[in-house]
Amino acid sequence: MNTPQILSELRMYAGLDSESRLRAYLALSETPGISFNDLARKIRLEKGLLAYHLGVLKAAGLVEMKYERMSKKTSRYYPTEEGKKILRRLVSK
Amino acid sequence: MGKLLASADPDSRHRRSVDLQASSTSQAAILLLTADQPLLISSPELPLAKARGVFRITHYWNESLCPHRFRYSDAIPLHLERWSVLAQLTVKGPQIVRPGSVNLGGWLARGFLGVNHAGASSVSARDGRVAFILADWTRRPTMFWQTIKWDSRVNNVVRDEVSERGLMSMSEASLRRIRATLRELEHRVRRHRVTVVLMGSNRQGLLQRRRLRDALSREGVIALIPEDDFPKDVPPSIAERKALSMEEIDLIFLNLQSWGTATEFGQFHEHEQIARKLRVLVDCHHHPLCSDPRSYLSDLCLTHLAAYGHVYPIASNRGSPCPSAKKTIVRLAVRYGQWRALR
Repeated sequence: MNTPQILSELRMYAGLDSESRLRAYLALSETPGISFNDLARKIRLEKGLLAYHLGVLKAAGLVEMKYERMSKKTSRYYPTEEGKKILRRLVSK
Repeated sequence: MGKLLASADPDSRHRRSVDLQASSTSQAAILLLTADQPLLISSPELPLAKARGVFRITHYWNESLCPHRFRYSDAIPLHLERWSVLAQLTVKGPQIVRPGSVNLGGWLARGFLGVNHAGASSVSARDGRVAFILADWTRRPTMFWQTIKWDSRVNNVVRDEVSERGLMSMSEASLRRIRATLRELEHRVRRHRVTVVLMGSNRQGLLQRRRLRDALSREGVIALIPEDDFPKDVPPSIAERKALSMEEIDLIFLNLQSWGTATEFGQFHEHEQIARKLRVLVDCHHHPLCSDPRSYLSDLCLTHLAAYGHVYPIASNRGSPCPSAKKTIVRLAVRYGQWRALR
């Protein structure tokens, strides 16, 4: 791997270095498009904290967020292709 | 998920055994670790032919149970983060374990420490040595069965890593591997991971921060922009305050560009935990050391500079001798990661 690739991986793995964040990521990988509120309920994490962790996952390039204005569920989360590759690597060995 | 059994053989009068059986969760590499040298009992993915004399132990998963440290000149790094202690043995009397009593299933074993190095045929231990059996559970699910017998007493069996459902959950195993990989990556680039938050004004300021985020991402830095990254489901004042207080946020860059950012600066200055991480960027014409601080904001900047440091002058236009906000932030974030790596 060259340096830019290593730095990119460093950013993504750093994004997963938290038990709560990893749980959130695994949960939304199981259910792509899950809303913020449903995710909070599923993994039983306080909303302020979940908002932070999802922000880090997004900034690390592991998830993308899309807004939908349906009832009260406005943001939905999807794993990115890069995020899926990392997850496959983690569970495959 | 599978089951783990690690137990002494109660029927044996003279010989005790440790039976390790795991199924359908992972294919563990079993490592017998002594005070002097590790012995890899089995590792289908790490044949000893390749691993001969090449264990470099970086550190232990459980320091309280594995207080010893080892160093070898050769190196295939064996990151012990993903190993967990199954059993602690105290070896009584010199023991020779012959091929017939060790079911290796075709895997290799090595003699350890000075008694018998007769190839891959036997294992021995010195009297009084403490040995640990470790297992790496992060591997592909499969079945294996391993019996190790010698005249030793099993005096402790650690079941911390054995959950009711089996050996280890996927998230636990994944977290271990993530951390092992992170250490490897940090070592290669000689830089610690860095997470920063970029605060500033909306509109033009937001566009600048997005460009800045891209530059920081290329440097391996996680850069959060609250307006983009936090969901609207949670009020921004709650989400931001929560985020900025998190210990893993290393630096908070605040560009004083507007009345809104000035208000935020006032709030963050009062919150010591946040204030310490704050890196304030001010137009060089208004930096408290470069101008006469007559305004309240400039005066507050001077107080912050005196108390915490980290108030940086940045260029307001192209002719300015000061660096741009982007240059300042990227340099500081990268250098911070390098500094953390050396600590």
